[in-house]
Amino acid sequence: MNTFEQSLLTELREHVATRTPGPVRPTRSRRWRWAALPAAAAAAATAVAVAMWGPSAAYAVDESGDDVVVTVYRLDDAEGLEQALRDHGVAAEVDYDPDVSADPADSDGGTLDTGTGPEKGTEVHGPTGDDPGTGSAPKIETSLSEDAFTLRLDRDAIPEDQILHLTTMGSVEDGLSGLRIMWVPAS
Amino acid sequence: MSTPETDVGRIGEDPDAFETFYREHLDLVQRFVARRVTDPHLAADLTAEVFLAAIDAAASYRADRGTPAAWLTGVARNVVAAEFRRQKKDKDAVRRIAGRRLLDPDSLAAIESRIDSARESRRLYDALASLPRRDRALMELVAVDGLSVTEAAAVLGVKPGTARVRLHRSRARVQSHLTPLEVQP
Repeated sequence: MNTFEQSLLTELREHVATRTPGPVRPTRSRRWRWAALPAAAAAAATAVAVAMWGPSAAYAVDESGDDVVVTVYRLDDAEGLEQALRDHGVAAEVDYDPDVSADPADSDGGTLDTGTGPEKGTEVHGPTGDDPGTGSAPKIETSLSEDAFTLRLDRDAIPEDQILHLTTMGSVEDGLSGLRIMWVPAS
Repeated sequence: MSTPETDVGRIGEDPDAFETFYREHLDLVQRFVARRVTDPHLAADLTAEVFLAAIDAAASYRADRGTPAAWLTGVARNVVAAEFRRQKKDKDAVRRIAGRRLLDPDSLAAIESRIDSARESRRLYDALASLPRRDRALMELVAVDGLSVTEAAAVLGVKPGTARVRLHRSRARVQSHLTPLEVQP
């Protein structure tokens, strides 16, 4: 190795030695329960809400025909899901922060009204900042099952100048959480 | 392109495991970058960025989905694509390790030589701009980076049969550029 290659190795070794691994969250055995169906699927921002009774698995990113299929089993390893999406050509930011506000004022493109309890889940409305009729955002198909939440993205419609944002709201521990799915311009 | 003995899962936490991985794949990364950029300082930065991204993503590696080299190639694709997006937006990069800072004259000359050797590959890389993004990615890996169809399919997460169909279609579209090259089975 030349001087650059050796110096880079030295710095990267130091980086590995000092970096802090991501937090490992406890696995739960309870299953998702869905309380609401997705709304405004073809709008500039797509939002869905789910109510769940704790996570039981992780995630998967696969390809089906021309689609990229994302299956979320539990709210864990957000960075791993981001990387898996990048590996499939989708720039994404995933935030599994239970402290994220559900206040509509904090939303980048839509409003979200929470329900009154875990049984009722959340109710979500479409975006407010964009014209839903423009249809400029990539289409996202969503489906729900007892154990997982699935997004199906048309690969050919994924723009290079937008980032897929998946953001959860609420707390699994409280038995209720929301998941906001949006396309936002890369900054 | 196959180093199945590498324990990729540990490179984010074990410096010795990382060093083994680094030594095994440094040439792959540097050649990958040299086929895509002409600025040696940027090449040094991107080389550092690719390994940093690999360290961060190590936990996502799945041996049943491809070799470490194929996985790292996918990581490198994402890093370079992100750099190009950033350049289009004329944004300054904030880098955790600025590779160019580590360059001495001899190392700089070595990178320049590698970039110069990759001139023809970059010409082909540029010629693929007319292809749809998905097809271009496949053609890059096969015709520019020299991966087999099976390896390129693994990097992109598609079935080899699907990749062969796309390659056939893409070759027809850029026939004049691809005729001299052998596409590995």
